[in-house]
Amino acid sequence: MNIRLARAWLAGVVGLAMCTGASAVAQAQAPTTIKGRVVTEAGNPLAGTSVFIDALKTGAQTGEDGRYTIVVAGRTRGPAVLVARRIGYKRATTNINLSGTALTIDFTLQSQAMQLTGMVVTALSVQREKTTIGTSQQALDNTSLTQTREANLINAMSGKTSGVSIQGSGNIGGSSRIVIRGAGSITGNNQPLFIVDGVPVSNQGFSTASAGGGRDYGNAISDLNPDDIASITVLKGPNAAALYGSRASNGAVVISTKNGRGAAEGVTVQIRNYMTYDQFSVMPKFQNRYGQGFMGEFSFVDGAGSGVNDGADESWGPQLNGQPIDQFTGPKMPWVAHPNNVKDFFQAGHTVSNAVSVTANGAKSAARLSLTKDNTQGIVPNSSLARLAAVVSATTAITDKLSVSGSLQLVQNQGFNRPINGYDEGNPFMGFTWFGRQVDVQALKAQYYQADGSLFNWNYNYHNNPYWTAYENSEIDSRDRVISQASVNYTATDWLKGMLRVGQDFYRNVADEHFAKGNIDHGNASYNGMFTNSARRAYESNIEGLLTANRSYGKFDFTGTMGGNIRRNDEFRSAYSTTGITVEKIYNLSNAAIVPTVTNSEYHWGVNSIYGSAVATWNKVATVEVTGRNDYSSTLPKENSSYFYPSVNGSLVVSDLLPAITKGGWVSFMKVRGGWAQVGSDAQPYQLQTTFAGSSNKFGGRTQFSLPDQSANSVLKPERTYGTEGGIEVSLLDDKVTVDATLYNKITKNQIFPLTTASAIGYSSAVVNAGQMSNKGVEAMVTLRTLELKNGFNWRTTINYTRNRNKVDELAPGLTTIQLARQWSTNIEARVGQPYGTIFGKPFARDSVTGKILTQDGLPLGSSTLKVLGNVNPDWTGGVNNEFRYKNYTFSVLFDIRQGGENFSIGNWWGKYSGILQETLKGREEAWDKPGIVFDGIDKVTGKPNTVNVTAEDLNHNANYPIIEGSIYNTGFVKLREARLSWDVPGTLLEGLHLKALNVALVGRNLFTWTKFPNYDPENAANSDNGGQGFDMGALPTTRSIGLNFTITP
Amino acid sequence: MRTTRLSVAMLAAVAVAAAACKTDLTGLNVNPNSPSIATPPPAGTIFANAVRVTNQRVGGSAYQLSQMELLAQHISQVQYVDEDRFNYRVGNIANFFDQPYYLDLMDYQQVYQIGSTAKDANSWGPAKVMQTYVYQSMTDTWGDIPFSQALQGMTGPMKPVYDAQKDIYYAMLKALTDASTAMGTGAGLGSSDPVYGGDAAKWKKFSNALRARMAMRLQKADPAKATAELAAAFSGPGGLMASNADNAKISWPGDAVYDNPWAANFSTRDDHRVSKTLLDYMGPLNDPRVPIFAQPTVADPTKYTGLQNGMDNATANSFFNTTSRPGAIFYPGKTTYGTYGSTAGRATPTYMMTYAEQCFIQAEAANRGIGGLSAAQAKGFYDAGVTASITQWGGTAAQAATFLADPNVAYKSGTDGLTQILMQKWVALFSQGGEAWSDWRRTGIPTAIAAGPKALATTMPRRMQYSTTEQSVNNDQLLAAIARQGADALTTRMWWDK
Repeated sequence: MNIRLARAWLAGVVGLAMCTGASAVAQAQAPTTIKGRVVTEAGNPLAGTSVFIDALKTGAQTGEDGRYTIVVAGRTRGPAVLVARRIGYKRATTNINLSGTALTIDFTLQSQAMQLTGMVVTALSVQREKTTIGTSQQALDNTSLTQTREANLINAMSGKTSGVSIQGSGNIGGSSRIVIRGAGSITGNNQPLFIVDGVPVSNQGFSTASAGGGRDYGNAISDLNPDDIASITVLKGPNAAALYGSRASNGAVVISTKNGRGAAEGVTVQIRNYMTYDQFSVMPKFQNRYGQGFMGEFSFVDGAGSGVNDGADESWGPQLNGQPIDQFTGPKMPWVAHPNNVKDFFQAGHTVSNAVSVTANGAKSAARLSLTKDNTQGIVPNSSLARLAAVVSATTAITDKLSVSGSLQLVQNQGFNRPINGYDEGNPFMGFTWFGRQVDVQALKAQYYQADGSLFNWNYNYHNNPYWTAYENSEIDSRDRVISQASVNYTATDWLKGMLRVGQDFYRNVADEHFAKGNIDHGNASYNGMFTNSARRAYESNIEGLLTANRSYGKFDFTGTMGGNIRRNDEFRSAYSTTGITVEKIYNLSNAAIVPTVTNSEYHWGVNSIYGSAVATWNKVATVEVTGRNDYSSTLPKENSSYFYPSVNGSLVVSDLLPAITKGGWVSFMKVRGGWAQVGSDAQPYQLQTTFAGSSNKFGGRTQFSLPDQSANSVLKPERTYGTEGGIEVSLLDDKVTVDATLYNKITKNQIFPLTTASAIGYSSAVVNAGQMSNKGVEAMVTLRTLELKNGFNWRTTINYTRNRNKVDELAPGLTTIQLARQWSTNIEARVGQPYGTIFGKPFARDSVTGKILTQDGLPLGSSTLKVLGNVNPDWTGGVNNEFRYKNYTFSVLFDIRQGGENFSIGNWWGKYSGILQETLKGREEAWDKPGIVFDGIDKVTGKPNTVNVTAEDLNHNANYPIIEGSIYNTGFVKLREARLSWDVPGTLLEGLHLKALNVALVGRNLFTWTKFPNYDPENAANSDNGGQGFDMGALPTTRSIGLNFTITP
Repeated sequence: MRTTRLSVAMLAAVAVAAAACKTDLTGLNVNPNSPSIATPPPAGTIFANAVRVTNQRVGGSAYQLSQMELLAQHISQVQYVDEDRFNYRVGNIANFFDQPYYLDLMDYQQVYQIGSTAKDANSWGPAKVMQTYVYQSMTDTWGDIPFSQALQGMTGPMKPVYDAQKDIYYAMLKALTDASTAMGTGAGLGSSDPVYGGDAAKWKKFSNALRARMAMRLQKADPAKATAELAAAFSGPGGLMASNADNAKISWPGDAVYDNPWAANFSTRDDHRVSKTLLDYMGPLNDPRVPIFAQPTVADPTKYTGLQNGMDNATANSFFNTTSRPGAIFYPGKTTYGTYGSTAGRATPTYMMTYAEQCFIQAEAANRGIGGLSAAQAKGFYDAGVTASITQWGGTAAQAATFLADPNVAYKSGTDGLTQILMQKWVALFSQGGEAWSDWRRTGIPTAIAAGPKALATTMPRRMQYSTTEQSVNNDQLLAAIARQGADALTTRMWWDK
């Protein structure tokens, strides 16, 4: 019942009162009754539609059956316009004549997709009408996830959601970081909780990649196949996600998989085929005028220092003029550039993906089976990734009251020769940063062993032949995943439902790395190779019971839920490795020449929870929701292990409350909302009592135990995150423009983190409750029906905008900073008063008067006082998606924008040092030492402008190292993230093919990047950890992909 | 019927909710992987680990080889010459300061506590001696450091004060006295003890020798304490080291897991050469240790040539093949380092304190006439020290005799004799550059030690800068120490160096 109906009813009552005194008049003017039914194009009844006569301020709202009845008082006669309007549908009008004769007017409303209405999934997988929700959330449907076929679910969300920051990687199957509304926790996992069909699933990162090496095995949520996902709802921040408990303090990503419901009746088969080609997207600008060496000199003897600078892995050598010089390829070879020697190493990667799904949908049951096989060849030679995903889900109604549903996802990932990341010889890109620009990689490709069996390379001090690395140092990893859930739903009465759900998430992750004889950086050089193995298996089980009561009293609708959940986590890790083997290429423990190091550990923890919520909606206009949850965690001390946290939110559909604002046609819908929430979080297991750490390595036969570096703390309390948000949702100009904007403030207090301590206490850190970090921001999403032409041309625009301001409010008393990561004396820190992720390192020494850099002997000086050089957080991020439809064609293009934020670019830092980058030609335009550079600075001794001329080599060696300031860069970018041209093959052509439907699409990802960031991909990060942000370690860029997709329905 | 259905639905869900009300899960939180402080592992297992860690650092490649040995000018850098130019890596310096506390000092403290509780001096004594040895290397590097309030975990002050170096020295001397006095004979930590295999008698000798070393350090700043402590140490309970068999060292297993740290470094890096300062002194004297400390140059296999300290990278690099790599005792067999090499050298021991050093301390005391010794005794100690050093490093007694017979080597009395003692002590302290640097700071000998041509300062450092971590986490105490000791600069002289 809406306000208009209420008024009509009121008018009726008043009219009736009048009637009692003037029945003669009334008899003469019988009312006009208008009845009818409003349905969708598919013929389904459409509840909640307003049907009204605007001029008379009278109308009604359709019920569950789509029917409405309006009674117009008899004194009103003549023509009128009857309007049917529902959010999400095009408004429809019919001219009627009010004559006292009953009318039956049916409407069929055309859907007009709009962001602000419709049913959405909220916490606990409860479906609610969006207009009644008081928190910020955003839904993504399958189409938007799969349109360019990005295999990693998180990457597929990039640029499409506001308030969400996503950082991908260029590694094959690599990890992606997703953070909603900024990092809240100083050292905890800042990524949201993932829920699949109501069951929490792991998004554990498996990256061993760090700035110093390791491999990126991706994160666990990438096991989910985007094809199998029906929809995703992003619950932004603690307000929307409070009911999910501790782990949702960073928000939640609620995923519903396809289960056959909603599909066409009967059996449907769909076949999808994707082929994409991947290329290196951002190639550094290399110089090609000087080759390997120092001070203009080079001559090869053994590549290890015996010749003239032949141990050097830098390009400060002789000019590349074709003169004969002894090289690794032979004596007196022409000294020439190989401008493409890096590019040529990388190959075009490709991904082939085939998916088949069978859906059966009947009156009482629905089921879906899908199989997807992805094969990816990486851009690094000999690297590949395969994924096989099988999903079965089914739901059936056993009786009218009882239904059961369940799903099982089996996923198998297999990686082969994923390249090493970071500063390690296994990272080919790092090897090309320390490089001789004259090196002919084709020679390295043609041969990587010499006649005597020893290795063949351009340098024997520090580097592997990159091809040898790719083909001889094999790596195999696998992750097997089983996600299962089953639920029973029982409708006890028309207002009470019960649900029991069990879910289990299991994975087993195993990685084997082999390093052949002669490998630099790994293993003991005196042996014949080495190997490592690490394995992890983890289980999470949840049992949940939920009661939902739903009753209406007059204009009030009440929904109450009450539930309990029992969660248990078990994790087992083991690893073994040896740094030396006896017989080459036998990577077996029995072949270990050096006693292997073996580790194993297990972790067990659990949380029991009870929770409930109550939602009251008045007249579908105003809604208030309160929630509460109490967790009992195993990881906190007994006295603090039980903790309760509440939330409250409300929403008001202003346009229904005050219909006047919709007059004039500017505003067609307006809703305001607001909420406050608190979420408590527990600790990692085993942080209450300090234990000795042992080692399987015996020191000359002696067992070794040692206290750990970190002290435990027996008095931990739960962390608390407080979220406050307010938002407005507006639909303008007959829904041509919709805006959904939120202001939020998220504060996390009492954080549990390892606090760096004065090491003299005997520990380098101690687990404490301390600190506060806040995130304030704006997130907005604007959708535009930019242009709609009568010929069917249709242009829609979606804009996302996120501006988050993070601040570390306090750490522990007296503590001003916490180091999150450190590379070459440069820290990524959480520093009080600064945003999380401050880059702290060595600046130039500057003249106090002019502010110019101080020099000594013509070379810039560094300051001994380290300072803040930047921070990793962008000023804002955004996405702009344009979709054009015309007849059977759809073209869409998505730009992903990041403004601001910095990193310490280690690729550029060393690239300048080693003289490989184009910019290092400055000062050696004529010869290696001519004309030189007079650095624009102030001489420290004379106090006058510097006049000393130095070589480019000296300057690059001394200005960039160890002074970090010159290698901090802005990481802002605009990326053409996705483009897609798709064609629904018309029915006339399909008949010949015996197909029901066929869609062909040309797709592209990461097609172009516009950035001021030099030489490397600004999106790069070492890994998806908190501390992985802020360093680029010569990581592989995100790949540029172009492909063809076929979606076939036979 | 309606009621029944209701109850079924309710029951299922409520049963879960009720089960979820189990409020105490904390039993799950007992770490199954490691023993706790409450039920610690045997003291010897903690001691073995701590001794290894100490030696991997104090004898190691980052602290000793690439820091202290450069200051002692035993070693120089042929590439990546930063430390040789006093361009220290902030992070490394921070680690040298921070890590001892939580990597080994804290573990010695656990052994000390377990031993004290068990009233077993032969367990806690070695832990105390090792802890004092580490503390000494730290205060000699920085001056004032946290000491009296250190190692109390979260039960003590979270921001421990920096004690004055004088107080630290006095406390360390007392700690060694207590340990020497309390230890008896017997198995102690037994075979878990990687230094002396649990021989408490040898720990007493090491303790006394270390006390003598510390006492001599005070010779300039606090002569009265120095002479008193020297005398007490020379006649300490259990006596002094009597031969190289008493050396405080650890023998590396050489199993490629735990190797001599220099050998491990040389197997993958080729950044070091023997210093010109050292070979310029040893070469003309025909010192038999030259071919032990150094390898012939690649360019001329008949020559041993040192590399000057403190040049710029390109210049130093130009001497790559014309200067001597450190000795074959660490990494023999190949003149070119790199991918393949011999595995010998891994088991070369790391020395914490040697009989030779003790002899030179005695010789200096005798030469100066302090600690109850007289000048006449100096030659005997000098000859014993030189002989012990040569044989310790693999030379023969005959070589030592020949060497000592050289008129330029044979002991002269007086000031010349003092210089000879200190020069030979400097040579003997090869691989223990920290001690050699301390002697140079106290005595100015060898006089040839000076900042290199491209060093960032014209004078040699007198100390290291404090850990930058302390600026973050213990700044008030750090500032108090700086106010007392002087600017946190390389040039500031600490108490015993004034």
